[in-house]
Amino acid sequence: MYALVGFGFRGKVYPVNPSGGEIDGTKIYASIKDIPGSVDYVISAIPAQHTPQLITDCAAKGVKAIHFFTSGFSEIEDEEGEHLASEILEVVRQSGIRVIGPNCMGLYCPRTGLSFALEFPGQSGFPKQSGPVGLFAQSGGNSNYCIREASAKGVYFSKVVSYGNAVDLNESDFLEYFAGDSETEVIAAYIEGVKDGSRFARALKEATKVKPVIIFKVGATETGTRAAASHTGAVAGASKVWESLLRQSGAIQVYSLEEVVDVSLAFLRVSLPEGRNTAVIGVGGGASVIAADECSNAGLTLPTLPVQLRRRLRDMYTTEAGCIFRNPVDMAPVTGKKMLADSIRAIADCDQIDLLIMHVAFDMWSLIDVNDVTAAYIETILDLKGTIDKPVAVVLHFCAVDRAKELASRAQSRLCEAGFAVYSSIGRAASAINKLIEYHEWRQGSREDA
Amino acid sequence: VDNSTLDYLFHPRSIAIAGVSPDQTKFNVGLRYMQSLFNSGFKGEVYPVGPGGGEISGSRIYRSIRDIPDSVDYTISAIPARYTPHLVADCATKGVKAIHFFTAGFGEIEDERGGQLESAMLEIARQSGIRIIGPNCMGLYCPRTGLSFGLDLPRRSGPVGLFAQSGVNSVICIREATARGVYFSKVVSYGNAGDLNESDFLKYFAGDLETKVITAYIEGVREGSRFATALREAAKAKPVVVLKAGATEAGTRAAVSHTSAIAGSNEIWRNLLRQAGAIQVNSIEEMVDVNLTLLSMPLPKGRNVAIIGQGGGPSVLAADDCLNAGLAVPMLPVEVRQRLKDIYASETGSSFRNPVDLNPFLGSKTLVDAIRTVADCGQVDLLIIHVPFDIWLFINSEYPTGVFIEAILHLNNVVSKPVGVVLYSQTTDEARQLASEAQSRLREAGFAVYPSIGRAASAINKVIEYHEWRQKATKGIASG
Repeated sequence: MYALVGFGFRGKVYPVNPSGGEIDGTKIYASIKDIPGSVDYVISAIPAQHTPQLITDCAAKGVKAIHFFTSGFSEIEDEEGEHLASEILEVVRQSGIRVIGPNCMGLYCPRTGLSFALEFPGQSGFPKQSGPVGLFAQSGGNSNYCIREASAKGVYFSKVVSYGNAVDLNESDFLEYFAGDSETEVIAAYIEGVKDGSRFARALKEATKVKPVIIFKVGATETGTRAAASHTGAVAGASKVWESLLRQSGAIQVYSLEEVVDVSLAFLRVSLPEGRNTAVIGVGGGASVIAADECSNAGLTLPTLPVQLRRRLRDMYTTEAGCIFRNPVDMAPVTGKKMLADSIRAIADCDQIDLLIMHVAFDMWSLIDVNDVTAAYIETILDLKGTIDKPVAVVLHFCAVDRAKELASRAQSRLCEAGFAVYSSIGRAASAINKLIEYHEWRQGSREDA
Repeated sequence: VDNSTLDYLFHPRSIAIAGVSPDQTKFNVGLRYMQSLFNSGFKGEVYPVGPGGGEISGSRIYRSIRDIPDSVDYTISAIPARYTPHLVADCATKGVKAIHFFTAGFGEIEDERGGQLESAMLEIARQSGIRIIGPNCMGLYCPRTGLSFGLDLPRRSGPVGLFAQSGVNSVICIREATARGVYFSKVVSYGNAGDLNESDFLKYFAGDLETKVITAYIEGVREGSRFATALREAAKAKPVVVLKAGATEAGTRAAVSHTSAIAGSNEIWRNLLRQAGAIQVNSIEEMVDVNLTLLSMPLPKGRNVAIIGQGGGPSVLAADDCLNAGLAVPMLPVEVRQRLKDIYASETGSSFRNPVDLNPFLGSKTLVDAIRTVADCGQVDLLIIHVPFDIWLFINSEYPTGVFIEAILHLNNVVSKPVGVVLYSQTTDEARQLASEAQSRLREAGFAVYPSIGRAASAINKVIEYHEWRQKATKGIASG
């Protein structure tokens, strides 16, 4: 109730409890049936054993959908839970009410004011800002994490569904909905197991033709499967089967919640590069060696910059000592912002380069104040906005000590606000961009086949 | 060469810094080195040297090393590459034992004159018996004797000895480690390895009593077979953690431009490290994870992990992560599950199979009881307790995460099995703040704290693997 009110939901909210009473000046109804107005949607937070009665009451009242936060159904070891699950399903089928859950957080929709997070002193609620990502996630805790991780990177949601045990509405329903939803441009999913495999496969094939679908399938190991069964009663399926299914349908498979956000970010904020030739620009020889390894491992290529360009950079810097111009390009900003900006532009103009990854490390400075150097880099990148016509990703990494953490967090906010795609490691940026390219290759291929 | 003799590198009585300018308005590396030594409490004499002479912070700047009235053990060079042969000659006259070249612009640049200059400089050093660290590197950090290449590196000593080819990465390693409560005996950033190289430092650390864990960041080796022999010997005496960078073709090219290293193929390295019993890691973060595990977690008897934490979804991910890392997640026996159900009165919102998903709302005492029940189970070798910060929606995360942290802090005297703690899911500034405070308290109590379950599991598995190798290797010796 506080989540809805605090989030600005404009419709009527009716609290219900068998003992009645009042809360914050609002009457608590003893039963759904006692509510004077009509009720569209019910959120259930009552114990599992009372849920069949609740559904019967909702049916009488003409409720269209119920979200069950309530848990204690087929996900627990008790047989009774299993029995209850089939009982509520039976009642639901007869009444035509649709059910979200049970054992889940329900709906988050910033445009209409639906939310499942509260704001506290020292803890923010969910963002009120809408965005183009539609997420359906079987786990409540993990959908929360996705929403927060995404908003920290400037990625926002059209709608999020946490759908738990999926006794009625399931992953296929939400996938089909998001595929047709004009407010959703990128679909993301966290799935422990599917209810109807062949329907899901069909829905997936259709959805990927119209928009990117990012899928994190968990419970891929034997133990993970057992955990998934205890969590949402899901049937997880072998990881090989999933890998082939996702690849063949053109879905983008990811392997962590962070990667769900990384790839969404690439789709929203990195324009499609013409190829995989990447220029990696930053500071630090060792950091450049690691950067090169990580880009190569992710599937991107790092061509050596042509000799004329290298010579031009060397002339600008007057020496090569302490710098590397081959690619990765290692340039300290000690010569000033203008020279840094000029050199980055010169590299971006090179025909052999399709995209730029610029990285700023915070924990690498020891003889110079970290803020002096990193600020010059961040300012330069911000100034470059709009002057480079190739795709750009920014990496802010190595920020373990408190001061670095603070500076990096501030830099991230500014860069995100300016519209940059900001990543926390070169490997993650490279892998997300490679997946963006792969999806478009697949889509073009499937169009040509058709 | 007897490498115990290298100990003098870390105990100079006097240091000359070449390349100090009296102009404090301009960035001057020599001066920064001087300040670093001062800030880290170096007790010997420090002599600034610069061709223009003058004074800096009340100290006279000598025009040449030769003008310094007393003896000089060690020299730090921050002068341009072209003057270095002359500097080495002066150091020879003065009886300097070792020079660290911060100076870059040698074999690592495209211009071949850089390589020629490096050979010339090294030749003079060889003739005069001076040992060289670098060129193109940060040099030495030794908190005990006050050597440092940073204005604000920790003054606290620890048991990790690190040699790292890259200067920047050695700074990053120190900072990432410090943030996790891991400290160093000595760190050497050795750059192009023109004279002293990875094998010298490896042998030194193998024999160094102040070093319990050896860690290396390597772009390429100078003497392959000497290194392989040294590695095999070192790994028998103490764990050796190796991050080999420049493994891909592009990485190799970057390594050449960086420290002119010959990187060697991925496959060769993997085999070499495995056979020698070294622990290979693939990132700086993993390097710290493994160091932390070696230092802060007793060795588990086996790979059976009980995963304990909060959240159904996080538990599913945790199980996948542990299995992928090579640990086993056995189903808890029915008696243990029953005991947990008795403690919690119900299984709704919890899961007792393993991963064990426990809600914190019955308080930390109940949580301690439940964790102890799991730890006492004969089928469990170690515990990973995970505390996610950003999963709380209807309650300020400070309360439930606080209950978990309190419970973990109480485990020290009641649980005899190894415990790894994971503090994760921190995307907001508030969550990071809470997690950072929790980490400090847990580290102080001696717990190994990780930022993700996958990273904890992988580090623990690598440490178990190392001990398995070592047992086999020492048995091999015993049986002849």
